[in-house]
Amino acid sequence: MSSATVEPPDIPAGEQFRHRITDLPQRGWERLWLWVSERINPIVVKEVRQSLKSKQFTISFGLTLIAAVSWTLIAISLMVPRIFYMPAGMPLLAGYFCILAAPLMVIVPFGAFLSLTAETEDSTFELLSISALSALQIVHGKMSSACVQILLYLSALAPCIVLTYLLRGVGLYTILLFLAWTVVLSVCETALALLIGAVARTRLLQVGAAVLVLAGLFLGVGLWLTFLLNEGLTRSTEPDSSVLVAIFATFMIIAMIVSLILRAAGAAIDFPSENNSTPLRIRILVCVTLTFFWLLFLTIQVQDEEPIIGFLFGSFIVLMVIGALITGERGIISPRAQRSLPRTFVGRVFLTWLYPGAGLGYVYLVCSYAAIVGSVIATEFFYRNIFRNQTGLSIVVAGYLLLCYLTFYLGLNRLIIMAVPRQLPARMIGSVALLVAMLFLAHLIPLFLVYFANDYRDFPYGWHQAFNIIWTTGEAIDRVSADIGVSMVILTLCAIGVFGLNLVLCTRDVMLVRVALPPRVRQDENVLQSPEPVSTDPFAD
Amino acid sequence: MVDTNREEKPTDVATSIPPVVVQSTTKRRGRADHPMIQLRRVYRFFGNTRAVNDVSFEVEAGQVFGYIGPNGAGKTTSMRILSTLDLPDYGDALVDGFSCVNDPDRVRKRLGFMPDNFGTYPNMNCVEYLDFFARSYGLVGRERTKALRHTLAYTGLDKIAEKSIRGLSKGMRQRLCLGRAMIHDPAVLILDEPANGLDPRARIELRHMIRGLAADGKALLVSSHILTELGEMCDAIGIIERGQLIVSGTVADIKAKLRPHVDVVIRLIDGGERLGAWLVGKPNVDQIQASDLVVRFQFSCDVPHAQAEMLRAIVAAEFSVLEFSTESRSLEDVFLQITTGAVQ
Repeated sequence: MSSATVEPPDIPAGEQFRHRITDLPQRGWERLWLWVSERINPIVVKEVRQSLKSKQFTISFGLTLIAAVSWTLIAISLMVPRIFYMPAGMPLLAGYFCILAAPLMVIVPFGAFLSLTAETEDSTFELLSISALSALQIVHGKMSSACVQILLYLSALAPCIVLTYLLRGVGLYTILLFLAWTVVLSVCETALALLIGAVARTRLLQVGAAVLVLAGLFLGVGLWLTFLLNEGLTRSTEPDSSVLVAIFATFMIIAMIVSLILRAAGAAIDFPSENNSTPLRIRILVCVTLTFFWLLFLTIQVQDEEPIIGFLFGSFIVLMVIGALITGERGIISPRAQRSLPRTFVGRVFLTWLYPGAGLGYVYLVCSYAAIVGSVIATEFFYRNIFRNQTGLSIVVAGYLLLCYLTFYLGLNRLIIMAVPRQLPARMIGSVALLVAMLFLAHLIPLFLVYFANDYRDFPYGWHQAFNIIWTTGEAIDRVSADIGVSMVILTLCAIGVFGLNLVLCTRDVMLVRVALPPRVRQDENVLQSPEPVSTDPFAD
Repeated sequence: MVDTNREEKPTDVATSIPPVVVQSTTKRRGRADHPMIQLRRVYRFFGNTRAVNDVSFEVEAGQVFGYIGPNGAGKTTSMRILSTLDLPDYGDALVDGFSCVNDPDRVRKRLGFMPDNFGTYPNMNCVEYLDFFARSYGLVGRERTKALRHTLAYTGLDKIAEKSIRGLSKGMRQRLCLGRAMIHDPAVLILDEPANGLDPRARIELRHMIRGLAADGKALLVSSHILTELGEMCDAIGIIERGQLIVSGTVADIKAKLRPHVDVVIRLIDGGERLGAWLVGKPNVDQIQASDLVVRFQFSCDVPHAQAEMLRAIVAAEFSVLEFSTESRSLEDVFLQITTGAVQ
């Protein structure tokens, strides 16, 4: 190669190139569309562009349309001539729901899962994560793309569903309710699939997770269609106001849970120094509070205490699962998180528990559940007159026992996990496994020992079954005996001991104080917050 | 520091190409009062392996820093730490004064990273790919379109803007990756093996792009195995082996430190052996190898004036000199001398 044959690289001035993407549109509606597209999540724009060119979407959308048209023709031809004088909407609607369930409850959630895992597999995730998009924006982008797909599939079947209403035999309320439920379930499944996709970061885990997600989706769609075809559609009647309120409350709670799941998925792919604990714990608090208030509203409406006991159990299980994950946290408050620690004494007393760390998280959960139990008990006393068939004591005892169990088991779990080196991978999964093992042993060992000592005969409840959550709580709800009293004393002492020890061990985290912003960050903040742009000399070197 | 230390590049085929004047869409950056890239005692362990072991260096604005090392030396790990894709076990990395550990969001706005192995999306063409990343960096409206046009033109992708990414050649993919890294006009660019798999022409073009970006005031950290490329485009280099930065500085400084003498070759019409005997005992002369027509020796004074004096003395002694030349050491020689080739 000689110097004479090599031309200078062709680098043009850079302003001549014209393309529909690189040019600003002239027409009004196009400019408005561009303005909107620039404000929504870039991942949605990217995925819509990709989907429009992809075979997978074309095939699945086409098949859905073909299936809907085919079912319409087949069903109508089978129902002729009855269709002219009898209501025929219900069987058609059932068929459409079956057709809709496949894309909405299998293809869309699994597509979202694959989309997230493919980012890791194709090495595009790193490019995404070093862009200005936050981890939460990445997850929300995937979720929004799934929602766009859901809307497209719904729009494809919308004319068919309108036809079922015109054929009579099915009410508008039934159609809208079950459509809404299908969409809500699809969104929930997508959120869960994204969470699993975010957690499964290695190839092996991704393969296992794909099988798990696919199995779960098929099970979900099977259960939903079984319910829908056997009970849901046929038994659906016009609702009264309390049912509508219950549905509204349920949707609100589900929305919060989906938000919590998406935040958790975002946390799983976020940079380690980022503080994800605080937003997660706030969402948990909102979920529990929302559930509590709606349940309280319904309880006053139906005047029964069973829903409250159910709520106490439900929130206990949820907090145990969350607690198992939190106690597996590595427990490091990064200097970045320390910059936002509360400054005032009152702030530190109430808000420090929202910050990262297994110990702080444990105390936060125990306090949250204590607040729930306290609120339930207070409400129970306040509204004693509306609980006519029960004394109300069972709620107090059940609530207290569950609080002791939560404090004891999670605290013990955290103490054991503390002995595990911080660098060990999959600490959270290990923490969940440990809690499950501990619960099994605590239930089975006393049970087998007493059974063996009793010559393999049935035996009544005794204080030695104090760590058996199900039996002790069930017994306490039925009747408060002397043995229950002894169990309560044992559990109280154990819970106080474990809680106290954990409290002492998280002193270091509690004592951390807010650190000042580094000068460079402060300088940058000032530039960002300055109302006028800093004038610069364009000719300066 | 940058301009004063810049080494005079040797003239060869590549540098015979006229320098390209790059017209940036952005204003030329002012010099910051801190290094644009800074590694402060960074350690990174993978089990018992010290992938990065107490590495510190700085890169100023407008400087191209070459990062050299054998496979598994810790180059990519250091670059990933700087790009907020990995965390150091100890120490900190700073970009434009912001910590990569504690302020990754601020670092990302100022940083463009071109990994060795980068991913692409299916069913996308070049312009859509760049548009997606422009949007991801928060560019909107005229700012976005301007950035896209500039990047496409700068990387030469404007002619194949509508071409599917999966159908691009290796060189074009490298250009696309560079375009993605610079779409938001970052102050710092980290390029991991950018010339990998490129043909000679593409390498020359890439080198000009890199120099153009540095001239625009950006700080560039470039790793490569093609040492001749680095020697020609870098203002300073760092050689890393087994996780440790063995040496860093300008290429000229490092060469001078490693061997403070030059190899002199003299070709004659005849009387080479006589010249060899004449040179014995002369100051700064060592390791004389003489044949009838060629004499080689080491001259331990790397000053052109001293070399001229020596030539004058030889001619004055009536030796028939045809050619008097000095052999400078290449970056490859430096690399081979410094590194042991050991892996961990």
